[in-house]
Amino acid sequence: MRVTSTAETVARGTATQGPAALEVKGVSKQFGVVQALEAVSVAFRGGEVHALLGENGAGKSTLIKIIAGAERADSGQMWRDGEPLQLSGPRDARGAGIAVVYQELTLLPAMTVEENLLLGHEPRSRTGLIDKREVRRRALDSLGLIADGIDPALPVEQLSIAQRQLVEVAHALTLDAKVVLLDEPTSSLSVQEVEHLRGVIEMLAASGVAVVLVTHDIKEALSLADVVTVLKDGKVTFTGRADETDVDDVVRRMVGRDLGHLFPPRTPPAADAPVVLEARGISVPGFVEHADFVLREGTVTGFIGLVGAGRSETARALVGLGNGRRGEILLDGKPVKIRHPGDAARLGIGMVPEDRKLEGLLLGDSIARNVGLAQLDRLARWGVVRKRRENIVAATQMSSLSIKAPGRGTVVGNLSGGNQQKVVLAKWLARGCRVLILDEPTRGIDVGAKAEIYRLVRELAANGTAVMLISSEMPEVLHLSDQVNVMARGRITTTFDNNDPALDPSKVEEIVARHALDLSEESAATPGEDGPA
Amino acid sequence: MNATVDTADPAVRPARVLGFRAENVAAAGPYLLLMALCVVATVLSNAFLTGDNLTNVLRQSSPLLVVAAGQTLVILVGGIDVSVGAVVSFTTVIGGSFMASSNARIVPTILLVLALGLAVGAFHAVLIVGMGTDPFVTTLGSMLCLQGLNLVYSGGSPRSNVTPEFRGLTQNSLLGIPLVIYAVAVLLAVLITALRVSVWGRRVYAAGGNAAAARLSGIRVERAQASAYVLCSLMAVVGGLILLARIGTGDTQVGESYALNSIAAVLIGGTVFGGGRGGIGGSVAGVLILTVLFNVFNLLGVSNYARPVVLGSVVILGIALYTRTRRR
Amino acid sequence: MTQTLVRPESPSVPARSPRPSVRWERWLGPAWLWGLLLGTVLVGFVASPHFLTTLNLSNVLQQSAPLVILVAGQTFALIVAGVDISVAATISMGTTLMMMIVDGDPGRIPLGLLAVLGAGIGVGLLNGLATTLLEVPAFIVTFGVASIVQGVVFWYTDQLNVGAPAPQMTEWGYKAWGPVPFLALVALAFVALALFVQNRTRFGRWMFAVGGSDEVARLAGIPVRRVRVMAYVFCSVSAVVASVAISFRTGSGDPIGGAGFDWDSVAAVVIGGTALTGGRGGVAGSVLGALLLITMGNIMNLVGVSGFWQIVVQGAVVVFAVTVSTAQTRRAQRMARTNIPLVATRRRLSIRGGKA
Repeated sequence: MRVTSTAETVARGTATQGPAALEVKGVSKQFGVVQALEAVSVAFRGGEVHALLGENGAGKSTLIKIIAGAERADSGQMWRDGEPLQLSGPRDARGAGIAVVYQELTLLPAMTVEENLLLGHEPRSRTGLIDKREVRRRALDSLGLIADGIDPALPVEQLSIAQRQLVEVAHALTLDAKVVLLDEPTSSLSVQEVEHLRGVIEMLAASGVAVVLVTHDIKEALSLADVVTVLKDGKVTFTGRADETDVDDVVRRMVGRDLGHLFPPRTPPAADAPVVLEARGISVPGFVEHADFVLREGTVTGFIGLVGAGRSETARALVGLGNGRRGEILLDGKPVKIRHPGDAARLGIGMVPEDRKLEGLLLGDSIARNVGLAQLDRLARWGVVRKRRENIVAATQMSSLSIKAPGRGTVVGNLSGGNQQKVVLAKWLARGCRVLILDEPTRGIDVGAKAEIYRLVRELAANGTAVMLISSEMPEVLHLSDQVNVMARGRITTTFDNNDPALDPSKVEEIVARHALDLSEESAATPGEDGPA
Repeated sequence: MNATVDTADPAVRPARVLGFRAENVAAAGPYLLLMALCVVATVLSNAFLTGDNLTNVLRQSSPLLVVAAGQTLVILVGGIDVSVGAVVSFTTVIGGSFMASSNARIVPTILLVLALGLAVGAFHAVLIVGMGTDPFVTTLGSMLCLQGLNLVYSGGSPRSNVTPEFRGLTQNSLLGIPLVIYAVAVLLAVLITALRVSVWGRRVYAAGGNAAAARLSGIRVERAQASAYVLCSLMAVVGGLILLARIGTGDTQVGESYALNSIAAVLIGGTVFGGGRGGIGGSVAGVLILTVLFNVFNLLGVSNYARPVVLGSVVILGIALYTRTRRR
Repeated sequence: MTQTLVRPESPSVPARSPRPSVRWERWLGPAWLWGLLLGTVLVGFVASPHFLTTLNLSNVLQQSAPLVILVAGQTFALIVAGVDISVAATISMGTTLMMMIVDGDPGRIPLGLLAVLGAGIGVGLLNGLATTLLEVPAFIVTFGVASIVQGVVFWYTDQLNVGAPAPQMTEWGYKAWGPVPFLALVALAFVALALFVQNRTRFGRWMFAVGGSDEVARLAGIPVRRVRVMAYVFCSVSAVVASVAISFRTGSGDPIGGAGFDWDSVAAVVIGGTALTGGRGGVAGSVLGALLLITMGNIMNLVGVSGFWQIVVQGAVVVFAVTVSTAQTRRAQRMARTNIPLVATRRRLSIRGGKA
């Protein structure tokens, strides 16, 4: 990010005096019996990147919603540039120059980029019709600073997720927003795209906008932000400059726990653990070029790589999803045909998907019905589902996974992300799998639930399950896996034994990173074995 | 627009209306409306609450009950079937002519029309489930085809070769209740139970609630959806047979109202477009509401002009009522 | 925005779309439908020597005028993710009212037009308000309204044909210049108006937004309810305009004169590429769909296919069209997914990670 230093210091320093661009004081919000926010006071200043950190349930998203006008606080006040701010809806927030870029993108796929950018305030010519030239001009104007490669005449459905996100940010700019909130902006981006967004954020801040960054990634927050606020159980536990704190400190203020305790110890599997599943020549047009790998009993095999490397598609091929997929799958050495997830389930292969709301759960149904979903025929006698059995299974799972809910009849849509993910896991654990695929199992989950899931993963391995762990977070993969496969561009670029004593832990991350980018030069530095273990 | 970052577990307490749990109110809703309607009917006409009249109402609603049950299945998996009316019509036409006034032909006729219904349902399944075409338009197309074929086959004037024994189904009674009611009751009971407790029923609800999640959990979503379309057409055939027994002749137009009426009944009964929630129990109430309404029209001698007006208003308001309770 | 900043490099992006431009489709409809229509014309040319005659073409155009006018409005209803099956009843109301009021007296034509327009707006408001305020599915609301309107029509017509057109009406109804009838020009004008509203006004854009996503539209400051109601009003207005066109060519007002128009218009709109789910499509495609249906009916008449079979064919066309368009959409989706480039540039970067 190349910015002239004078411009940067001028813009980024200016707003530390005078009223904050946005300030909340004493904001409280209660949902039923739950106190989501309690007397929260934060100031967001123009020209600063302010990170908002905290577990799920800590109150971050509630605060965002209040600022965005989507919710009303029970008590407290807000000020905008020193003037009191009353919001009766999201449109008021927009009018006040507050823009939020949500995780769920708010672009209309059927319309073009420029139509989306100017939606609701299309400029009109004297005849009352839309002034197309002006639309194009304004669109290029706002795109230009952020993503000038994007053609404004393109329908949004032809853009990738990263591009859409950039258009969203550009959209925020068309509204002349002076306070821009980014809600988990990097969770679906590849590394380059994150870098690019980082540049955009810095540019926004440099131009005097108050940037608020809500993220789960503490390290990223600390590197990007000037100021950090940590919320815990609805209260502010820390506000300070990012360079005056570190990850462990933040984690402690989020959960009162050190990062190190997050991961359970790893007992390596037997050296000659039998191969449960062997995948040969897996290919999925457009996503996976060629993948050979094995999954051994009692072993956690991690798959790491950048977004788009083809890990999910490889896993999905194992359960019978993916158009035009090819390749051989052998179970216990014998070739099997998996044409549908039902075939996979019967063979003992289960998958916890990347997006639990989209593919993991029946959000309108109870915990019990969700947990039983993968084994309806087993719970049934003469074609009739035995409710008592289903309930018992659900209760067992709820206690062994510590799913926090009033009862097994609770509608899953009301649970927090961590508990929802546990329900998805419970579904497969209840059925019992020899191979369990976990695709980004801790995405969108608070730190506390993450730790529980990590413990579970190792437990599963200890009990003999072959776990395929797909994750984009290095510490996760490197702490949990026994074997690691790095994927890039639809191929496995390297694989190694993570338990190998000869491994140099300080070099591993770097080497993984290189292989994830598919830089072919450093072949000599591969640690441990080459090729499938 | 909600971010997917979750808030703290909000009140996981279920919503309540007048102290009762919202889901239960919604489920009982249609029946409450039905009762209210019956009360009004009794007040307006003392011919309403007689055994004869009530039996009549039940008898008249039997075809629609069956058709609406099938429609419920399709709407539960997230689709719709507007061809049911045409299926009812052609069942009467083909059934009416094929029976050739011979009792020996009753069973073959029934088998024939069921086979045809199966073919129609399978056709829907192949296009809608197999190819992913839009259910409304696809069934609209097949409806037009069936209507045309109906007219072609009957040459515009269908025959009535129905035997009196066959008609006896609706005319004869056991214990004061027409035989047909027993048949329909049994059929509906089987379907309702199957939906509620069987594996198939769970698959149907799952397919409608979240097809992707159901698929990943190993459920053959396509099979569940296909079964819904096939059963819907079969039920329409059964409805046509019941209707044939009652009117004794083929009729190319008789089924026309069944499409919209069955859909209205299902929606009034609480099953929502998009699927995953609701059930046949509610649809039964929906059908009875419509039939009672028609019955009241007759008893009171309501003019031909007012009937559609009242019907339309009741349908709109009836459904509006439940959308409101469901929201909460 | 300070201009001294240097832009960060954008991620590599396909700058131009390989598909034909969006604008073309919005004004002229989907290309494959043109192909289908031309193919049908070819079939007609081959099948019957009477097809491409001035008289026949003028007949086809005249016959299609009401449906073409109607589908323009029905398209709007579908774009906002709704549907209007009350149009049949509305058309019946329009023709009967017009005939009753005019009753042979040309001086009463303006009054008739006004009354009919008012009625159309009224029905549209009823549809729109009931759908938005009661939050009942459009299908059911318009079904209910259809019932109500039909009942009203039965009431004031006593279920009999009523009224009579003024001679001038009939005269203009049958006037043609070569193959181009006056009514076709009327239809064309109406369609042009609809296209303009759809493509060049804010309201048009807003309709797509509302149909695409309520939330997004609301957030953008669009008055969602008002847009929806206006779409339904436009639809009912198009129904009454169509009914006026019909009344220029019939002898009396038929209380069930609108029969069939409901399904036909929805079929035509869907064939034309506007989905029931809303947010995409357009008037142009719907018009092509309507022309397709009428042309096919015409060819079948010339060839001597019975009216009964024609209905079958119509149904088959609907099924065929929806199959083709579904296959198309799927292919486009698959291509879009594979077009998204995998990791492209090579820069030295660190993967997001934490301390061990």
